[in-house]
Amino acid sequence: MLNKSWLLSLPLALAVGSAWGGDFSDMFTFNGFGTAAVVKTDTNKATYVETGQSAGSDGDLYFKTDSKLALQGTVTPTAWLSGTVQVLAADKVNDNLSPAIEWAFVKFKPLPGLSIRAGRMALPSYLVSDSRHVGYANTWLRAPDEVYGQGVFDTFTGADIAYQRSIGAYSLTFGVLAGKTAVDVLEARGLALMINGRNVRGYSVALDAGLVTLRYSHVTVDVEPQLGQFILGRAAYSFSSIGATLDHHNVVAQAEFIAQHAGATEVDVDGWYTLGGYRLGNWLPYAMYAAGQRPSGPSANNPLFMSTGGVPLPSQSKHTISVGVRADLIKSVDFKLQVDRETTFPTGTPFIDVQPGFDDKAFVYSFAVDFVF
Amino acid sequence: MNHANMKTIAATLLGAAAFCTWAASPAAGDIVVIVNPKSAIASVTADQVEQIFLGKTASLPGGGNANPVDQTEGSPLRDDFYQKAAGKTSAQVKAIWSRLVFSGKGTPPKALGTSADVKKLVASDTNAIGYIEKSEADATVKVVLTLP
Repeated sequence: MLNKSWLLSLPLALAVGSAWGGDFSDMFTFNGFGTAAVVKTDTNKATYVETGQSAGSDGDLYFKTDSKLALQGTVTPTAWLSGTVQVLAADKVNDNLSPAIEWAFVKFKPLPGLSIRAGRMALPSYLVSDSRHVGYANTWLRAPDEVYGQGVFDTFTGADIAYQRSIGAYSLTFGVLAGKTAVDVLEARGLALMINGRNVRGYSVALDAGLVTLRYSHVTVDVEPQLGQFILGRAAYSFSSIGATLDHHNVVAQAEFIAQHAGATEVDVDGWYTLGGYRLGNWLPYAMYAAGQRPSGPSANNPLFMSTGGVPLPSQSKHTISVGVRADLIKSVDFKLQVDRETTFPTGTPFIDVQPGFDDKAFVYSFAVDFVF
Repeated sequence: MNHANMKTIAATLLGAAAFCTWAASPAAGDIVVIVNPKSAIASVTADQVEQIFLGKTASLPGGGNANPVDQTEGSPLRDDFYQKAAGKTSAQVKAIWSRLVFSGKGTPPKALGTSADVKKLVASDTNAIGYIEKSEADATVKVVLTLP
């Protein structure tokens, strides 16, 4: 595990520096963000993972659950044209922190308030889909899995159009997108199980009213699970999210509800959370409750199962009570402590490798350092 | 690295952070928001200034692309400005901008080192909007809002 120590030393190095990214000239900018975190549970009868991960804490300190590092470069040759590439190293699948290109897109701004992007981008399924990995931008230590673990796709390749308009003190943003997507579910013995998404379509509406922001989005995809060369089935997939944030003086609140439908299963996938916090100087204590349900099984959120016929799958539900504190004590760096009480019924995500005698409940203790540069 | 070491490092980081305090910005005088003298804008509200400097809009009141000009991060004037215009600490402002930067939605305003630099840029760009100490304001720029 020697190779991971550099991630821990980064925030200190960055805290000493003061610039916001590197500004090589007016044309090139270079930024990054990351999280160095440890997680520990109170049980050795199960392993705690986030959706998609295959390894985690089984009672010992574990590093890879939330740790990540991203670098982003932007080139802006003219005021109306820019190109952005973001590389993210995070454990999304297969217990692996190797870096991958998260986004790469070109952005045109033909008119004030109007932007058109083409390339690979975050699929805006959630209230904070495009900044969910940026710990520094969020109050919580990790996005609640009951909501943010439910969507099958994180990114898409295609184009989107956003139009922003100010109405008095309010700001309205409309977005539409179209493209295709794919996600790796499993890679074992040379066989890859992936899910292709065709005809990705979506729209979003966001209202920023100063103290409060509201957002609704809806995405539809034609999904095709594929094992090696073989297409295993087809299903229609849709994902909706409605969310709100409040930031007024010392009060911070955020809530979101999502619903997903896929294929012929009669089990709904849905989830919601609500978070409240109160700023005390540089400290922000918060509490969060999250609940969600999805089909149960080894790859519970997998449209493979949803597209294989009309067999209703059993449902798994889960909820989490969290308390935590965020501390902004150093420029561009925050520290977070969070304690979660995870409960599932029956056993399933976030617990894998479950041993006899596990009662489907665990405390999860996490400490994270988030940084931006 | 073993687990005990990581625990020690984590504890050290938290300890270092706890002892690291930031001096509150000294109570500065009035701050004025300035635009180019040729700009059609006569006045702006604090809400409009907040929208522009926190990336909620890319347009100036009355139309046209906004070109906001910031002061250097960590300067007392800047901390004071965001507190008065938006009621936000520098950490909150940074968190808001990191959300926009890392979603590819925006770039923070260009930051200049002195009020003289800000004035110079605003005086040369009809879309620019900046802020300086009230005592620094002169005929090269137009004051559109005073933040007491």
